[in-house]
Amino acid sequence: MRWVPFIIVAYLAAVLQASLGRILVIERLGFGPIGPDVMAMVAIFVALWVRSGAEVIVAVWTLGMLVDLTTGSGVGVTTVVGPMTIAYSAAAGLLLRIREGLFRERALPQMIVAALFVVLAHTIWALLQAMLGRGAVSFATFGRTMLQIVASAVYTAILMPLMHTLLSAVRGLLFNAPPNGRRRGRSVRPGI
Amino acid sequence: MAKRSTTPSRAVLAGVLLLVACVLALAGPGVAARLRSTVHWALAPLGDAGMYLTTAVKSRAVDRPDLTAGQAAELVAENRRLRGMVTTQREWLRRIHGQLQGGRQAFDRVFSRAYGPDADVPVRLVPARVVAGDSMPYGWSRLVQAGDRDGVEADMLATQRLLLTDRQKQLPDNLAALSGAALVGRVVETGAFTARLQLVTDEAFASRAHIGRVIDPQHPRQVQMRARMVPLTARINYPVEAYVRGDGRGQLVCEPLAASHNVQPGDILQTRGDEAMLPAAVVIGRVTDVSNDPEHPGMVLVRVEPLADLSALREVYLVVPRISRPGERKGS
Repeated sequence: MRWVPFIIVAYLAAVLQASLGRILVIERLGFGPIGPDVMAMVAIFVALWVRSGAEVIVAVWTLGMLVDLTTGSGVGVTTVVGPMTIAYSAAAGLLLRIREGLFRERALPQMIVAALFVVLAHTIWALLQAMLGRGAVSFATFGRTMLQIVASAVYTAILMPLMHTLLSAVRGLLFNAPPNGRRRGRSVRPGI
Repeated sequence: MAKRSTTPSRAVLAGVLLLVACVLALAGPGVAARLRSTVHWALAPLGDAGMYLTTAVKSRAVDRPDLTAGQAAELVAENRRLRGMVTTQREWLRRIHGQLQGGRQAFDRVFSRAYGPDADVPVRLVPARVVAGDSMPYGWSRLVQAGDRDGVEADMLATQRLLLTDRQKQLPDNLAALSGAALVGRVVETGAFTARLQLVTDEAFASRAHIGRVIDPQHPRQVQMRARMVPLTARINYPVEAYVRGDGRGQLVCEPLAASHNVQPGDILQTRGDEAMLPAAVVIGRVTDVSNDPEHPGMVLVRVEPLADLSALREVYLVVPRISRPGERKGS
């Protein structure tokens, strides 16, 4: 993993999601606004293609932290920093376990993975924010948030193949070497 | 003997990082606010351009009726006629009031306070631009490019900043009049250069407010006055006290109100005008729906549509009160 290009891509993704990406947010729905999770798409791409599990965890942790630092409202009165970091890490950990069985170049598996990733990560985030944030959260509010999460997961899944194509164009910039197909395990380092 | 790798295992790395995240999460909202404010400045430069495009697109997405030139001319003529009527009525009111009270000076002071320039209201308006929203779509907040260094603090209120013009051409400099037309939110976090606004539609937003009932001669309404129903007139049209909160879905809801107030769609929700943070009555929104509260007989649930188009919000005024707030020492 080349960390400097990755940090730049992560920063651009965070800015995109918080500003230009707001164009894609649909606000006039009966249960509240929904939108695609660009950072989750980047996290899924990294988890699918970076060979080293340790590098995946560091990268996804960074992406989750960026989301936490650029989100000031949501479930509960005031949100805290950390829940999305935990949520992305947990979802990526699960994805690392199953990625060997996926056809990651195909659009359909990418969409299914994106939907499941967002549902899992955002549910963990909402639960932790409800517990740790300031202010009481009613069951009705939480139920409504779950509807938003499911709708946002579908939205993200629809856009995932497009984002995968875009990120594939800069894959050589992000990774040290072309990923080695379905081989599992750590990369071989010279001298070890 | 084989050399042991110093690279931490995936489990150890994951454990350490998760521990850091857990500590941050448990540290609470106060630490979170400080952490966010230290990185918000990094969002502003690129986010500003992004929000320019976003608000441009969103403002076009709002359904607005297409006016023909003839319809526009009719509206202008009607507006002029109504303005003339308002002026006449205002003059008439001024005369009657002066005659009745004999206190023209006191009246002028009140009139000036209601309609005069912002110098009469003890606040300073800090212009700011929205440079980013939230990463997550579930809340209603915006990042604005004004912070501690501009005197902005948490709990201060923000109004929309509108350009008022009836010209169709591009305006030259120094001709535009800017107006804080509607309340849009409250500052919840501040950094040196940025502040985070909680919009009025956010579920965490709550405020006391007044509902002004609009008197329409075409549709008179009855309200309760001392145990009997009487027609609503200007003399008894006192503002209805309300406690309002965002519903998280793009509107505001009032705590159940007595049905006897006879609040109706079209009525105006506005700030109270007697609060230290915003000592002026500023419109928040318009009542769109009034329905019976099934849990509290005799009470109604009132929904309010914000006056400002929050999805296309770009320019705001942050209201910095000039008078000291309750519990605040002078000079602090």
